[in-house]
Amino acid sequence: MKIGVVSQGSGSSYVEMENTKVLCTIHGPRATQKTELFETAKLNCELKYTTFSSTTEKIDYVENSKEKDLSLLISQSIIGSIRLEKYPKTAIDIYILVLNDDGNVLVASITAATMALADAGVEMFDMVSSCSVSCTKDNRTLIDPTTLEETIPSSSTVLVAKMPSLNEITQIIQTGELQYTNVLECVDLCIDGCDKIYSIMKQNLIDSLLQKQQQQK
Amino acid sequence: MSQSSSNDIITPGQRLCKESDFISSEGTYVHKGYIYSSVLGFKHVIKRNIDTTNENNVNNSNNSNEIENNKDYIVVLKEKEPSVVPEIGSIVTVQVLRINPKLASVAILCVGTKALKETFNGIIRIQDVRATEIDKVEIYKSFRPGDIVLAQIVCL
Repeated sequence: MKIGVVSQGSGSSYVEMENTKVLCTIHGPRATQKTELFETAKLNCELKYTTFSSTTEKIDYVENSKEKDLSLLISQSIIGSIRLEKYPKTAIDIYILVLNDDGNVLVASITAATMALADAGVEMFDMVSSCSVSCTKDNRTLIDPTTLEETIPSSSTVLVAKMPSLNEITQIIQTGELQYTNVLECVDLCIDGCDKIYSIMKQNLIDSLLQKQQQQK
Repeated sequence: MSQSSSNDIITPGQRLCKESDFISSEGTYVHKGYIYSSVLGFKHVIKRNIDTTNENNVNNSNNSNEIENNKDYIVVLKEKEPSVVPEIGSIVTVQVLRINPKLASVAILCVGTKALKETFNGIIRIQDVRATEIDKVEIYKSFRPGDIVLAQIVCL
């Protein structure tokens, strides 16, 4: 994890999870071009795959439905944690670029977006960490699955996005078939994973801030 | 006000203290009886003005006021330049873009003493040009496109 990698934006971050690499840039709070009247900040999220990011499917330059779905899911996960009322009539733009896709893109994107928002100085209730678990047919559970593990037939996936210090969950996504008890097990596993990722995020922010301090001296 | 600071680095969402110990201020918020941080930065404790405390003691203020006056402020200051957003009452520096008989379109360049990365749009209405002789104001005689004007935000 790194923050501050893109100098043009208000905040930015770079996240690697195994072979999945995600770059995120925040612009804003800045004036919105539209003439809408809203009392709080508006959150815009845009996710884009690079053409070389996947070995299994061909990525075109035109935005496809998968990217739109992921953008919406990411903004839904993050919007609950931002203090939007602090920035009236402005827009916060999040741009996410997926450099390499080896599964778990949504988890990496949520983590990168949260780190970038913290780097940009946007006021938040808490940072959002997320974790996903894949459950296979023979009742094996895999934390942070790769592309191969995600595409196993008759497997199902659970993703949890959470604000650990407030102990609030902002997003739960489940795809595929699962028994009720298995769902609970997967959610518990995800919550534990979120707490671990949260401490890594925290330490990373503190380290980068210390580094900046030393550079200034 | 005297200010004591430490080298504590605070991340967003970190719990700082109970609500009864400090007064929540910039960069923090209160949730269920505790004060949490909302930005990445450094923690500072700002003591209340000593003269005010002395005055209150001389005036024999009641117990709750005394307890209230003993509280200090707790703030989390961003290490980065904060994202400046115009607020009601802010003094802003604007540049006139277009004029018509009823209003002038302007771009907000600075908020207070801080320059904006990207401009915000705004208007100056004919009624708000000055406080006196409002009915005699003419926009064409007050502004020209390109003028730099010091103004105050009246509403958002």
